[in-house]
Amino acid sequence: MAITSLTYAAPVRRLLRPLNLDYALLEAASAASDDGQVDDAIHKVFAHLFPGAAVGDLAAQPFTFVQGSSQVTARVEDGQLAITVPLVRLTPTGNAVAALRYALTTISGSGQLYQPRLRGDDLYLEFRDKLTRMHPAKVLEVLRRMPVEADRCDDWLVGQFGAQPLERAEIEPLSEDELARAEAAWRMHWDEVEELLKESQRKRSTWFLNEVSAIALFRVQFVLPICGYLLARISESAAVWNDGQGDPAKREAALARTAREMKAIPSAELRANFGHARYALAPLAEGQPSTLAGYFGSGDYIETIDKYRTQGKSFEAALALISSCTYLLARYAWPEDVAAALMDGLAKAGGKPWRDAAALLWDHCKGLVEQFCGDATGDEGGGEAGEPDADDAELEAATTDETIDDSSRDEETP
Amino acid sequence: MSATDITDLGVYQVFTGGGTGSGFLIAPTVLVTNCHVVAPYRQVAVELRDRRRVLGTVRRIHPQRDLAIVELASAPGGEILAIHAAADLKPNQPISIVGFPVGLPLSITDGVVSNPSQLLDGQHFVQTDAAINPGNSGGPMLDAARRIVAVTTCKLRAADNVGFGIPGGDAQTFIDGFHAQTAAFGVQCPACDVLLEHAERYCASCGSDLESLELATYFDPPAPHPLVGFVEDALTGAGVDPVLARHGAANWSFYSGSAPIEIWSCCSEHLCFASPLAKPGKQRLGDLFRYLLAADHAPFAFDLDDNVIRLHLTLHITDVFAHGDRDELAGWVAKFVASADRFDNQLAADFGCEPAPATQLTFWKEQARS
Repeated sequence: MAITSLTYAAPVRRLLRPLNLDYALLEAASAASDDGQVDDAIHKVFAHLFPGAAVGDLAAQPFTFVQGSSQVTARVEDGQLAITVPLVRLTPTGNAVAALRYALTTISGSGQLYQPRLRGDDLYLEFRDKLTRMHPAKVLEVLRRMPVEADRCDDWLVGQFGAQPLERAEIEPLSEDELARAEAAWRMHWDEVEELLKESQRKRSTWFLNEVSAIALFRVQFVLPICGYLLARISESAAVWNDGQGDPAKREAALARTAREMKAIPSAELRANFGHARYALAPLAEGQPSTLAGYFGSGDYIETIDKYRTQGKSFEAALALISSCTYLLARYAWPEDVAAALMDGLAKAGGKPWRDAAALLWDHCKGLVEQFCGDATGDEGGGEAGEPDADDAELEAATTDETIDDSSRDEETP
Repeated sequence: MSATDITDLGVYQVFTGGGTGSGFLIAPTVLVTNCHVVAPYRQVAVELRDRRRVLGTVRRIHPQRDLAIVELASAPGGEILAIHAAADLKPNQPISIVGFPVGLPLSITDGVVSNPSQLLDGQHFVQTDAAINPGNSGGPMLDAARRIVAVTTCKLRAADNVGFGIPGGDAQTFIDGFHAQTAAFGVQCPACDVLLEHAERYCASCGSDLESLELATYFDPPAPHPLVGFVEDALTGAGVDPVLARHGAANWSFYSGSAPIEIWSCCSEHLCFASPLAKPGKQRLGDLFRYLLAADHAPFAFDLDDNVIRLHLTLHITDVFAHGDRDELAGWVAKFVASADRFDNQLAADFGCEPAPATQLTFWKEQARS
């Protein structure tokens, strides 16, 4: 029997709030750097990124902070700023060669200021450079990116290659009640994803598949406090099934495999991957009114949803609205009232037939724009591209700005 | 034409700090290309089939007709093709375009003459449906008798298969002017074609306001961006001719001994250096990987890119502006260049690594054997 509604599960994960960073401090850091006051500039960057934290003289007292499972230490020694994160210890029983290959293939790379370094059997992610070259932009880049990268890699190295955790940050375990709710949400989620996937195969619509795959990924991230290897595993497979440009048949097959794999995970293993991690640096982008307006205000996306909604395709419309709300909650840190309003919409639509869910969420999301967006215009949108007009045709010189090799050089920066 | 045929043609890739294009020999050391391929540079690099590069000096340009003549420091060889100045092209006549599209090795595309004398912006062009891509500029358009009937120059961006070439007659007139030229460098007036040897406000011959045509840029190229200045100073310090290393905007590529080196600015934040050195062998991979990840390689690092071992270094853009440290960073660049040449041999000797594809190691080994 076809799936008639989606269940709403309240988040077990603790929602992150925007940190309200003081950007004046960042400007002051740049000014101090321009004046040659390097120590002061570095201190101000730390104060900007870690509001309320006591950051002292890094030469006398290292500053340590936690990002998920990673423990980051920043210190000044020998006239250099050194920022290090222990990743893992290689063991004779694990697949050390594969772990090392992974470090060389995935963690090391050009276009990043930090690199993996091996000391004995211990693998670290490190950045080290002279204080005189420590422009605030550079410090900021390393502090923002390196801990997040370390947090992403350490569990993978442990889970895939049998490496030992190294100075891993403590993660608060879930209570029994939380564990039970998390496991129930997990099982329900993958059951529903399998049902949605069947619908996707019936409908043969890439648009529909995009919404299904978005829900498959972002509902897990929104609801569950996954902090271990499992999250990395989902992210890895999601790179295939959540790729909107990929071959739909391959995406559906990959998502079906993932759903099967995730449903088969034993309870004990699943529960070992849950925990309330701490994040000194916001792992999510700050949600802005323009973000909300971009989804629910105006533009191609919301117009398509409206078209589905008014032309008897409530399933498509409801799924898109649910996936959008879920995505916004999974990927952005919102002020409390916005997060509550987004969750309220999902809760109201939960368990409702598609037609009711679509009508209800449409009104709710439009209400969100009115309530929170003011005059903000969306980040997204735009009209249909027209046919090129011969009169508008431009002459293009047939010289290269760059060679074909350069396309592979583009470095993805978060 | 077969693949062998085009390999022997005197058609070469031209490199500047602005991009790459194509050019063809009209004499053993004289190459014709487009003005937009070389300008505003006065020195360019021309790459030979074995990937060595020779220095080229721009002698004459015609910005309006988009032609340039480059004199090479040494003769690259290759067949010098005749220019068919009096070509009486007919619509639907077969035509071949030879050049280096999107930086790929020498390639040929076929099509027909769509219009032998298409008027665009007050000038006549040979219009063709043969594929023209970035990098083809300055290359020859050949007829079935392998004569140059036009010089590839541009295409319509918002259309399919609408490309243009400068007619062979115009190219021949430009070349004839060069043969009569005594000045080291000259720019033809866009209005009257007279050769200007210095930047002037008004053309002495026709009175055109040359400033409004921005001709001064050709005589006095703008100063390079500080990032480019840093890299090229550092390369000079490392014994590398930066002109020969240029590979488009804020890109450089060259060989340090047997090691290819690439330098590029990947975004507004980083300046990247990389050298693809070798492929891992089949044995002792654990030892090799441990060696590559050893902490004492800092500030350099290794990675595996498509199973090719790369040595790399990343500088932050603000480093380039930290004037007090410029010499030290230039020292890093010199060390990187020297280390790359050493490492590829060391990886082969110590860990049984194999040469990376597209390096000159194989080429040179073959040369040594012969």
